[in-house]
Amino acid sequence: MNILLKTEKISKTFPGSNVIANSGIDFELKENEIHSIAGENGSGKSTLMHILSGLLPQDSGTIRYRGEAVTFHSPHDALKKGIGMVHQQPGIVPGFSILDNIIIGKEGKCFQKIDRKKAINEIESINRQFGIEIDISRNPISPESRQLTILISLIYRKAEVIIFDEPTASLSDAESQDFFGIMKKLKDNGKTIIFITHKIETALSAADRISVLSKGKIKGTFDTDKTDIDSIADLIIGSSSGSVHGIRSGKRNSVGDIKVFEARDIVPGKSSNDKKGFNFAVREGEILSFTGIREKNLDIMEDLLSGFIQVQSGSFFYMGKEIKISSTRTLRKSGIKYIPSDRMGRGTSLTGTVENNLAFTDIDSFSENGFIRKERIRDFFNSGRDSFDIKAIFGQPLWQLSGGNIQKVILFREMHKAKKLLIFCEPSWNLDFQSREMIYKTILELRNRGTSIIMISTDIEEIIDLSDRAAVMHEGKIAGFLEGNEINSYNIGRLILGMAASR
Amino acid sequence: MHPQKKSSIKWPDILSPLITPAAAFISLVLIITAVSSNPLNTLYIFLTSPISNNFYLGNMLNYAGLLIISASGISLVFKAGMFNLGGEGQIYSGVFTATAVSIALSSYSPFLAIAGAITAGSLTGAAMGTVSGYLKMKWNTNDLITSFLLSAAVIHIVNYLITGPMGDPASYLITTREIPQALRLKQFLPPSKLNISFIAAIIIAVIYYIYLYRTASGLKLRTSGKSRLFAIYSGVRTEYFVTIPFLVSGLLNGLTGSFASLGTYYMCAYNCTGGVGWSAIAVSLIGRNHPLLIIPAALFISWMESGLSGIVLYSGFPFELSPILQAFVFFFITAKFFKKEGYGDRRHF
Amino acid sequence: MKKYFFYLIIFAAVYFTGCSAKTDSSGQAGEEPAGKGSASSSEAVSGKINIAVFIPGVTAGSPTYEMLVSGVQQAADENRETEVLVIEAGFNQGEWENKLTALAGTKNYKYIITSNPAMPEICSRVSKIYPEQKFIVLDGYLKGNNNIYTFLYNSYEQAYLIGVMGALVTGSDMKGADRNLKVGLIAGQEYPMMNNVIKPGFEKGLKSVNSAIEMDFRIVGNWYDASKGAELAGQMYNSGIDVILAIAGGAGQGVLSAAKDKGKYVLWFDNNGYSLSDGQVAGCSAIRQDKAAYEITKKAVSGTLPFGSADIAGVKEGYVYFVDDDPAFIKIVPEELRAKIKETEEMISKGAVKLEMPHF
Repeated sequence: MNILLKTEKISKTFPGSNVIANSGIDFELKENEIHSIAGENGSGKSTLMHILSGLLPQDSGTIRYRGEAVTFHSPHDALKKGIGMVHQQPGIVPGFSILDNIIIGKEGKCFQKIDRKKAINEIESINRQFGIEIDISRNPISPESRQLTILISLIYRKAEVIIFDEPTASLSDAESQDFFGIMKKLKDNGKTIIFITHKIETALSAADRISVLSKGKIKGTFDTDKTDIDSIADLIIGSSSGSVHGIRSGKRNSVGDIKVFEARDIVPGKSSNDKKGFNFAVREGEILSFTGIREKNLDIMEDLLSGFIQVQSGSFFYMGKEIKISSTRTLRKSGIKYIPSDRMGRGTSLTGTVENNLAFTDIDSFSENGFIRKERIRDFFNSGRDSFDIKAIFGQPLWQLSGGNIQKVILFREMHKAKKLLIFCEPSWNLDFQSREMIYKTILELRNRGTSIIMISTDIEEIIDLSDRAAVMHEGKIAGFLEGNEINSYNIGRLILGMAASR
Repeated sequence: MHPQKKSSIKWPDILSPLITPAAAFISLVLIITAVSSNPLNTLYIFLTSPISNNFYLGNMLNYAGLLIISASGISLVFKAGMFNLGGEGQIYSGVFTATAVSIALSSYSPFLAIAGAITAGSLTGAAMGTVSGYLKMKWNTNDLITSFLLSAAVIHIVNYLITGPMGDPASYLITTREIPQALRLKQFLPPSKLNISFIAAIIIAVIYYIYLYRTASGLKLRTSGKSRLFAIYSGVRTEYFVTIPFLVSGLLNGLTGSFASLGTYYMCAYNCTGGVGWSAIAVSLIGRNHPLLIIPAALFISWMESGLSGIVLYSGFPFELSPILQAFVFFFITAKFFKKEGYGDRRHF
Repeated sequence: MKKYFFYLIIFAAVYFTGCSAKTDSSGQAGEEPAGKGSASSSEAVSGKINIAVFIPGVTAGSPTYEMLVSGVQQAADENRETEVLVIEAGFNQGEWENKLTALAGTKNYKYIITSNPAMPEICSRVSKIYPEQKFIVLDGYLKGNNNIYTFLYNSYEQAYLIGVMGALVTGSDMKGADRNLKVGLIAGQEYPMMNNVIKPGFEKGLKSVNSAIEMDFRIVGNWYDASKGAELAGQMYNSGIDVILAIAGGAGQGVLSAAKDKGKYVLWFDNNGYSLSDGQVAGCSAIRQDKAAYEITKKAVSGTLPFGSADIAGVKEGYVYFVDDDPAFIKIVPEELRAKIKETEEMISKGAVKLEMPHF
């Protein structure tokens, strides 16, 4: 196969930062291949793809498309050459249907109307060709539908190279399967694919070749059938890592009898009639996790616990005393820490500075008489930077940080002073291998020190690895509780599907 | 290792607030050169008349002071993520109320009467602001619409009162009675109207800046405006930061009106505010990235208005030039002249 | 990039062609290089006299102001060393004093001429700050200030005349007239001259023809809102009024359009308004503001104007009259009525009807 896209010594440093995001990268993409890009957070994967897709200009270096040097001033330019990107958080127009989202921008000259019928036919034939099953008259709300909207949009605009950034990060297992099916069809129809991922297993099984990025440089490119997980992991970390499948939570030290947090007959507001309420409790030094399909299960549980959904009936108890969780404020005042699954929206202020993101949730303790004491914030920032290895500069706006570093900011902030209870949603979301290990270690440390953790996650691996007890949700109810050895993929799978577990 | 310096100042940060005034200024210059038969002279007058004597200078500063007070309030509401479009009516009600109250209290000591008038005027503005703020908080009604409509209604009410029951029958102007001499704010620089309100304006602007960027409450307000979810998540009572900024903004507008009444007009004539509420919005928009920019922005607008009056006086230009200036300023303000790299504001929340 | 270039060309084209006529909008030269601001003396150079015409409002659309400007200009043209500048002060009445102060502060104009009943008071206040400035106020009254000369028209007579005309119209068989015997008066605002002189004068004129006639008096609230004027007039016409006297500045346009809509009549004040509309204006009671402005300016320039005094002039003196020679008037109004109004005018002139200005 010939080389479709090639970069020569691409470099980029973000203004205001000393970290070199891309350093002299020589990358080659062969026509009609599926190429995956792997690497730890902050290694420069997204940056490189943003440059290839025209979103960012490189500081130096050349991009060659079919041998000819090209310059992109915008994603529009790149798309004209046939390169398009589906981002992690795909930008769609809320309120518009999938169809409208696709045909937006394709209006002809002034006063020329879009031929909707023609567009619909074309789109439907695209969907058939690539095995995409979706109703284009609906609004894209779920992550999967947003992703597909952008994908169809790119194909509609005759993209030849399609770049995916963490395509399965927000998808359930079933949806991920569908996705890979579509990706295969894309390849069968002559398209070329790049996808960025953390999940090395996935990369090896779905891609033809894999490139490993680390600290802004390409460490190596391999055919996937000629390498294995451990070698790739080695390349990323630089040292032998041991099993990628994480750490078993180890012997649980004795759990106290005190119920740190309890829910009795909790019925979420605005839910339909005869639901029996949720009943569960977490004891001291225990990790209780919730898992299941995100929609209508875990998101409701998360919003109930954080006050974004009000309780219709039933009560919560914290350390034996009843608390009304009317908003996240209640949690804050009680000292309960909360890491939301919506990291970017709820969990941070992207336009704010790094240090303010660290300090704001507890800003009163960084102030005196109402005036903010910047030294205290600076100290906190320094300790976070050192202990969690956050790559950032004081005063830098948060959006400039890589996804993984933003994660670390949130995690440090909430885990640093966790006392009795931490509510942790999707712990390993968007974390690379190394960071994930670190987080798991920290979770266990907290637990061993007596902090209880309510974990809400769709990642079955970590549920298995970390939970002391697991509550599996199905159709908006708790299907069942699992303890100790009962926590395995078989039982979890059955409960999620609505069948009984085997004990 | 990890260098500890603040993110360096980039050109767009400094220049973009300057672009709007510059563009508006250039447009005016173009108009002047196009229409005037002696452009250089006209331009000279335009640029220098505001400082050419005490009268012009003092009035220019006085007007700038009024703009500063109002713009501080409007900027506060912006930072909280909303828009107070009702400045004109809030200020006008302040002028009227302060005039009426000062006349009513004229038999008491001047200090009491003036204090009473200022308080009353500020309260009417505060009341108007609170309505918009409360409605927004309770039912998420659009603040642009409520503030504007309420203001428009109040303007008509005040106009009715002036042309009718509260009008001065002895005057040939459409106005209320005049404020007694003893209650008028002392002129620092006669014959201009410069008075203590200018000092008050500077103090208010500085206090505003300190509040917004140095206090925890200010940070909470900004966060509620820019990243509302994050603010809720952090335990901030965001409802407070919806109603209260509007209340404060209304109050500051009422205060502006009170100062205008006691210090500049000494009466409340029909539509005497003449667009100061809109100019204040323009000022706060120019200074949108940074509150302290309000002071130079106000001086700029006031200078331009004064310069325009100057050329109207000297060259017989049509007096409509003043609204045209306003139009240019508003027009250019909405343009963003530098491509942004990421998400809006770069250094602050 | 190409886009910007394209827009730039369009802009340049419009700019350079559209702005070929480089004049100031108020027409006259008056741009004094005395732009240095403050104390440049007035006629330091060889007897040159600068006159400023201060318009409280806007010249266009306001007959009194237009006549003022043309009268002053005419006088100035006859004297080579007199220059005139017209300043419009806009509709914000709160600003008038400010602008007048600024104007006087230039110390550039030997005489400031203006016209408006509100101006004598304002001028006297500014006069305290700039005691050397001389003011001339038409259509106003103030006696005893040595820096101010005022000239007032006998609006009582003026209103009486038009009142008579109104009564004649409403009682007639003219096309739009009905038999309701109701006549309207729309004013921009209430002010002493209106309340104490014009309104009563108008009513007296109405009742002198037929004592059963009723007068309906309404206010627009300002001097420029034509749509409000139209709305008000529309209501009045609907309520049985067939002729309205409009004294409302720019808002009068609205009264005219309402009259056109409903096929009714309008009476005009201060100048010849017949041509403003298409058969709606049935009478005009005017002042010779241009004649007065001309004569007064000439007197001022020659140094014979009696500052400190206040003159009043009416029909006999030739400054108040009924406009009856306009072809439009002749066409609309029947011979009989025209003769009657002419007779009334003569009676006033001879002194047969005594109409002294009431206290205001």
